[in-house]
Amino acid sequence: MDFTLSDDHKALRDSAHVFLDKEVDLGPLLKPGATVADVDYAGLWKKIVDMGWPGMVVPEVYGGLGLDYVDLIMVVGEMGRTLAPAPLFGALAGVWSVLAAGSEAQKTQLLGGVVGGNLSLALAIADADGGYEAPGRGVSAEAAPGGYRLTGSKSFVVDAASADKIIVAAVLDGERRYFVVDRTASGLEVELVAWRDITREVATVRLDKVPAELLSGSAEDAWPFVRDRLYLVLAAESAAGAHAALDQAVEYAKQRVAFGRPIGAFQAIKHQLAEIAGQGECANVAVQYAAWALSEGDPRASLAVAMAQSYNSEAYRDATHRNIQVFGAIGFTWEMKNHLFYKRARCNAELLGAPASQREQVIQILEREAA
Amino acid sequence: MISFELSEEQQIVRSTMAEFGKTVLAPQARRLDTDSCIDDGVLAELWSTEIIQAQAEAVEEEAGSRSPVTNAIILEELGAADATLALAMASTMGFVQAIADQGSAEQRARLLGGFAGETFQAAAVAMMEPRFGFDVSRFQTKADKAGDDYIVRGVKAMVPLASRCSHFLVVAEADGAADAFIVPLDAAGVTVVEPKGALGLRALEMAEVAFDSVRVPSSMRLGEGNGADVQRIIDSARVGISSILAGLSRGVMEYVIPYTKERIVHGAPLAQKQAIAFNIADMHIDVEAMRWLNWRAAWALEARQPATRTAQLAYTYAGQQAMRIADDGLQAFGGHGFVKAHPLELWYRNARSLSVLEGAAGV
Repeated sequence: MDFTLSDDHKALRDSAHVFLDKEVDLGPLLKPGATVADVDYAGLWKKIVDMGWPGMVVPEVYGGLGLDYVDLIMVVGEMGRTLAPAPLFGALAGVWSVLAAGSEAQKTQLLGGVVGGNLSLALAIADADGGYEAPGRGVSAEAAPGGYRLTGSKSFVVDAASADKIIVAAVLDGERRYFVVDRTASGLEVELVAWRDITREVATVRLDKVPAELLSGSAEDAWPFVRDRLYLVLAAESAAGAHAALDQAVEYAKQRVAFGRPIGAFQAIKHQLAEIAGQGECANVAVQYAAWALSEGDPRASLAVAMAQSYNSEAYRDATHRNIQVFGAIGFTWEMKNHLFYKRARCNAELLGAPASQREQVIQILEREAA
Repeated sequence: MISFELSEEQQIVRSTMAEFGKTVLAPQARRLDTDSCIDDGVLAELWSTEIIQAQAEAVEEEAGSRSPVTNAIILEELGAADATLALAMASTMGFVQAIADQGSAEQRARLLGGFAGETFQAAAVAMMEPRFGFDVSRFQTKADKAGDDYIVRGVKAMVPLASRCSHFLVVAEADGAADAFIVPLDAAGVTVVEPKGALGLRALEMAEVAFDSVRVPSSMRLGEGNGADVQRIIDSARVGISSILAGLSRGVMEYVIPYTKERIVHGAPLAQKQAIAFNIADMHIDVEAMRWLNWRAAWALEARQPATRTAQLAYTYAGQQAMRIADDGLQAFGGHGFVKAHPLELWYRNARSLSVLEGAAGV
């Protein structure tokens, strides 16, 4: 048992902290009616690519940094803390999909492109009802000369608009398989959704006989592999976001005076802050444990990530709700950042299924263990 | 380097304590609660685990056997069996650990031998005070310097197994700061007040102890000339109680699961109803959250890092969650939950007691 972060972990976290504090500007989003189009998604991404983050989890054999998941949460936590608007989520989803479903040649080619900064990816898997269950209904694949063609639509595709290629889950012969399509291919349309978290691009992807390449290692277990890792990403963002919400609220509670005292001196305020602090610590440890379990290939990893995602989603939502409560009326004006954190928390809690769906997984895993 | 793996020794301790708790302690919990007393036989069984003796005997180089993380593991397992007996162990463990950790060489040599023998020997940290508005940062018990001695005046409350303790570690204000003094039960001026009974932890015979101008030599000031780090004692106590609460919560969950699989309501087992199934998933997640926070705080104590914040959060969090879990567990059993045929009402009372042991956790 050791909770010590290594010097490398700390260095990675600190460099991400400094970099993102300097580069992230949420200012353009703090005006009525702002959308994700108001931030420089592509500009920040270019700088992130220069930092080498898209290749963090790409194994060294494909040219990546081959870092583990504890390393990853150092960076993802900072992305969550700052609400950095950039397509890291989509890139990671794409990388893990290729790792889970690609042939060696495809991994070499696609992951090499990601590492080299020439290729950004996204994963289209959710159906219109937000479901992720196999085989899915939204897109079907049919054989065509030289490959396949995909027809249908996928919803809630994170970072599709800024991707060069999209990994699409489609039904082939009654089973879910994974395909690669060019975002600019004829017949492919990406429509940004009016997603309430305006720090993140979410789109609907429609395909009409779009030429596609089958990831030839596709199998049913690809999604659980990817999903577990994406749970970790969201849980890490949520833990860091909850801490950010706490820090902001504490700072404000020290400054804002009511009835002759800083509002932080009132129990109604300080107890709320203490609640966030407690949940925030649990969220932090939950995500570290999950990252460690994934890195070690521990058999408890799937349970750990499902619990972390379920717990941290709710902790983040509570923290940002209370954060706005502490700020009072000013906390839900456009010119403050509070609402951005609340929206991120709310959307993180739904993006890969509500906390209830992770609870369902927890139950299933426990039942399997008990059997 | 970050790792969440228990050492081999910790894994062995964990499984041994789990088995001991399940087979030896749990079956006696109801009887002890009814009798409002822990009999000598049960105390002897607790003592037979040799946990306290090992901590009393450990020399400096073997500080591992006083590992706060291992203690947290032990107390969770005992708490899963019976919170009262876990606290009986934790109380003496807290005293021994404070002496071993902070005592001068002479204090360790003089006192620890008394906890390395073959029969149960209770001792306790006397921290709480019987007044509304008490908090652990302000003690009304005072220790005033009188020549080479201190004169301790005040009343301590909720001291476990008070009349069986050989010594108390009395936390008192000395020269404007919190300090700790080792006071034998038989010192002139020490009186154990008859226990008044309590909602839960009934068998623990928690009582007030009055210190009426008790003369304590300087040599019995914990750490002697250096004085005591009282905050570290408080932090350790909080982690200990929150570990017991995590164990208690796990015990509720493990008791509820088989029942909800067997109990048929509206044609299907309760466990298949989402309202129950999700509750159980929440219990599991919350027990894990409590445990990791406890271990995080225990590890900070072990690594001699600042632990006060995490220990306080762990205690407050565990108090809240354990109450919810005990309540949900009782609810899942419906009418069966509040009768003595099942332990849920006992666990509910114990959770309530533990969660306010240091004063209202919400305050």
